[in-house]
Amino acid sequence: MPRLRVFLARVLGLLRRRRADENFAAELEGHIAMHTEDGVRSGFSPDEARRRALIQLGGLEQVRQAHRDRDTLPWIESVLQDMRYAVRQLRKSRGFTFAAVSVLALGIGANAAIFTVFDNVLLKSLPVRDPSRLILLSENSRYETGRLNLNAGPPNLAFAYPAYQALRLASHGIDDLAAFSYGTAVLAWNGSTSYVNMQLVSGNYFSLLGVRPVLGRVLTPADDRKYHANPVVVISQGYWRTRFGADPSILDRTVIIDEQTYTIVGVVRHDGIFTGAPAEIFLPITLVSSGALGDYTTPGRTNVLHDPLNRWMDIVGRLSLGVAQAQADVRLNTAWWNWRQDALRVARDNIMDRRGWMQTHLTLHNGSRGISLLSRDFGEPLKILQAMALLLLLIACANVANLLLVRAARREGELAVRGALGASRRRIFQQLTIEGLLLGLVGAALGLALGWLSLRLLLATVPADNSLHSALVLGVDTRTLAFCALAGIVTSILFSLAPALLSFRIDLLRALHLQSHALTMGGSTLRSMLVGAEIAMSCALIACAAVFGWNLYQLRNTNPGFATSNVLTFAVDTGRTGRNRQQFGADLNTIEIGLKEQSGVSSAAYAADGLISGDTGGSSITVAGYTTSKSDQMVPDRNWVSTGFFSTMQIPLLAGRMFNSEDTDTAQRVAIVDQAFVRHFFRGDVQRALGGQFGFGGGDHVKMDIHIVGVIPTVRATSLTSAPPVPFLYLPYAQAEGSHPGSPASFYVRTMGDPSRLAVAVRTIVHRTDPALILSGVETMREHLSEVTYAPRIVTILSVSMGGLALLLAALGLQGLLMLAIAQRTREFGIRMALGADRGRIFTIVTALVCRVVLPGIAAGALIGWAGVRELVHHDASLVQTPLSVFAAEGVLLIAVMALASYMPARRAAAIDPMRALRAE
Amino acid sequence: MSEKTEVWQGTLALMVLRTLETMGPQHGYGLARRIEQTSGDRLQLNYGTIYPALLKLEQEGYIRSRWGASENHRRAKFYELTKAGLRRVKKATAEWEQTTEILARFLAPTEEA
Repeated sequence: MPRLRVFLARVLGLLRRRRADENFAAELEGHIAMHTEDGVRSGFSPDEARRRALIQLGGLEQVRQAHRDRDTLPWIESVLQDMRYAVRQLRKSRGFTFAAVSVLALGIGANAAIFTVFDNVLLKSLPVRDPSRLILLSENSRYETGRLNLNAGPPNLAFAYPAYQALRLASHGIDDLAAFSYGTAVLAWNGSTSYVNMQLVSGNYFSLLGVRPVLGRVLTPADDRKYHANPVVVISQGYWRTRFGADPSILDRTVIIDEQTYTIVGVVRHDGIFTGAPAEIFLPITLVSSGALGDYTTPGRTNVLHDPLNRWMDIVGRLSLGVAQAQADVRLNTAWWNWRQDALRVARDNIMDRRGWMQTHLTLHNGSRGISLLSRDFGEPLKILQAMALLLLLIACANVANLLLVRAARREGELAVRGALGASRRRIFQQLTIEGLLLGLVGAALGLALGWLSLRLLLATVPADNSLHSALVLGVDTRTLAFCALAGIVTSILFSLAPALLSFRIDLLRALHLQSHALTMGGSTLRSMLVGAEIAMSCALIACAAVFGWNLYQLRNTNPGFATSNVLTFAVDTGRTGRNRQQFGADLNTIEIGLKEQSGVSSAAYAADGLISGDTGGSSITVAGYTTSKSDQMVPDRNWVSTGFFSTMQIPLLAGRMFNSEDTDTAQRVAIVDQAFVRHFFRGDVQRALGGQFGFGGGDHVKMDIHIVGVIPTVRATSLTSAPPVPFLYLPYAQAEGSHPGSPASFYVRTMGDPSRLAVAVRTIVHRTDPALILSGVETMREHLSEVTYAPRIVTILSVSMGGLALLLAALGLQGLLMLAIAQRTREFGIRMALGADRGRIFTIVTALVCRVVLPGIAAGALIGWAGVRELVHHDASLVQTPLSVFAAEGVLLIAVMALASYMPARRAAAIDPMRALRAE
Repeated sequence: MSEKTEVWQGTLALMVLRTLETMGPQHGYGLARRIEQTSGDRLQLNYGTIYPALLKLEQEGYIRSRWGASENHRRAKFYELTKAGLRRVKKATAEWEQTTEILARFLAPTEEA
């Protein structure tokens, strides 16, 4: 390819410019010398011969230029030249460069920080083979999906094992389906025990995802078939490194997981499907039928692997190559519907709403990103934050455009000189754009550093065990780099467009006489509009920030309905092999007694589920005398608590009695319910509720043997958010028996003084009871509450700082605009004052100027803000309505800041000395 | 045709290649002189234009250059054909002959009439 050859040769020519020039000069010199000699030989004088030689050559400089243009790429060369020129220019006006670059760095920095998190939480694909073809299944039916458990995992992903098997048989258009379930377990190895995140997977899971072992083997379909005695485990590479020190001889070693021995058969570079909570160990999913991995089987029902009503696992699939999702959708829905019909036949007695059971639909979701636990809580706010960041970048852009316009107005003379010397308009345009691009790229580089730094700072405020930590502990990757570079380029095009376009309008002659006002006048309207737009956008930004801020404020001031001060909480878990649950119950009592003996402790209690832990768990119940309507399947939340729980947490009793020591394993089964429960099942009649009875499960054969003995007010037991609370029932821990809460248990200790002082004593008591018990999460109740507000707090910090930054930029923009306007009108003001206008009058003129810019800005901003906030609340259901007064306060703040920004220029205008102003020219 | 003719676009390269083929390695000045002489002094050639043309041919790989000494012992850059250049001359000559032949057919009857 001669063309490519030529191009490469010319690129090379760019690089060895100096030598090539010298070489050619020598060649030309030889040429002229030879020509002159020939001339002398034919009778001319040496001077005349040389003159003729030069004429015949066609001009020394022209030949050099022609040769040079041919030797290099003139376009690139001119760009390089402009680049060097731009660097010189920017270094000359340091103030301007500093201002522009820092404004850009702030704008791009905010974007870099948020994009890094955004990318990680919402965009990144799973690191598996061809993730784009992965799908996740979820089902919707009137029977199973009320509003129940919406907070307890990705909505409605759960399936029963027989449903998975049936769907797999009909997998036309689907390469395969694999089943998985997520949980935590206690792993003991080498004398120490700790929690691990585990993922139970079907045997085809790894081959479906295309995950190969780093060491040993992965789980295979053969592992599915050995239902009971199949103690093998595959561990993740990360866990292999942290827990086993990347020991290469780890294969065939045994570990103890939830009291059973397992053999490690492989190591994989895979962290499971749930992003944000990396799975550390992988076990065959069929192991659940052995009961070794906790409570999967509903009491009184068949083996969990055969129970069509026990929904406990999720399904991931891979679309066949070239198959559209819609096709697979139809196939799978047919199979799904058939299975539902079969299941209805098998489990007829246990399905109450048979029509609702068949009103069902299977949905295929894009599975390329796995299931992001963070995107559920953090996704919507994150999208809004990213939108805010982009808006902030636009404001920064407008700001820099303004600076550039002012600068261009000052440089009109210089540009005119360049034009007069023969620079084409294209060349001047190119030069201005390159200057902008340089600013943009420097800004982007600094912004990247700034973004990284602010992420680090943010990370420091989040404890390592919070799930947010993993979203923030990120390095700068190529995508963020690309994003910043793109942001730099796009913004520089945006902000250098206006001055560059205006440069076309320069009238050379007048500009040379410093009389042209193409840039000065053409720019001034544009500048006002830019500042107006900045104010509008910052108005919208602080409106969003106000919503987040107000929500955090509300969250912090929520009264959960139980005492939060002077309470220490911690969790205890059984970690030893062979420990049965009775023994564990005895241990808990021992610890409770030990705690009460401590001085300064007024009471202590424990519960199966921690307060405000986000854990919701319910089972359907049948209440005597209450007929479940088909449209509403209310499943109450529940917790098992020790006798002193309510008094310790200072939850008052509305009617009936508290649990007492007589509510033992063998006594009459009792329950305490809350007001929401009474409202739902007894139409709010407390007295009727007190005599009420209910039982767990549905259908016609439920034993309704649990008596309601007490009623308490509704408390926010699981989360602080404002969703209407689900009916809640409490059972005595001592009566847990079959439907036993799994470990761990959460303790609550009421103290007289500072609760954190008790932490050491807690450690001693727990270890004295049994050194194998795992103690975790020792903190005060207040600390615990502030922990669950980390996500809203970070969102608020980010949004408020962006709002503040936007406001600052808009104020600076306004100030700059006014300063210049006043400087330009000094003469006019001087004349006005000389003709009798007093300072007040000048002040009025400036105020009018400010109002012309600020008022339309605020009006537009209020509109954008209103739309934005509507969108915000629409997208994020957890946000409470923000009162109008908050927005009003925000408006006042905005106006105050703008007034402050215009005060200095206004004073300067009023202080103009008419005599000096008139003499100035 | 007493007036001198400008060099037609694109033909200079062929003239250079052909001259190098017949005369062997030459420096720029020699080439320019030679082309002028070959045309019977009927071409008006700015000697300077030969250098960008030489550079282009060199970039395309049809000729190569090296420094050497001229007849008068001056340092000069000598250009010579490469193998690719030789092929190029053959091909371009054939093409050019064909073109002129076709054009001649168009022009001949009018001149005779």
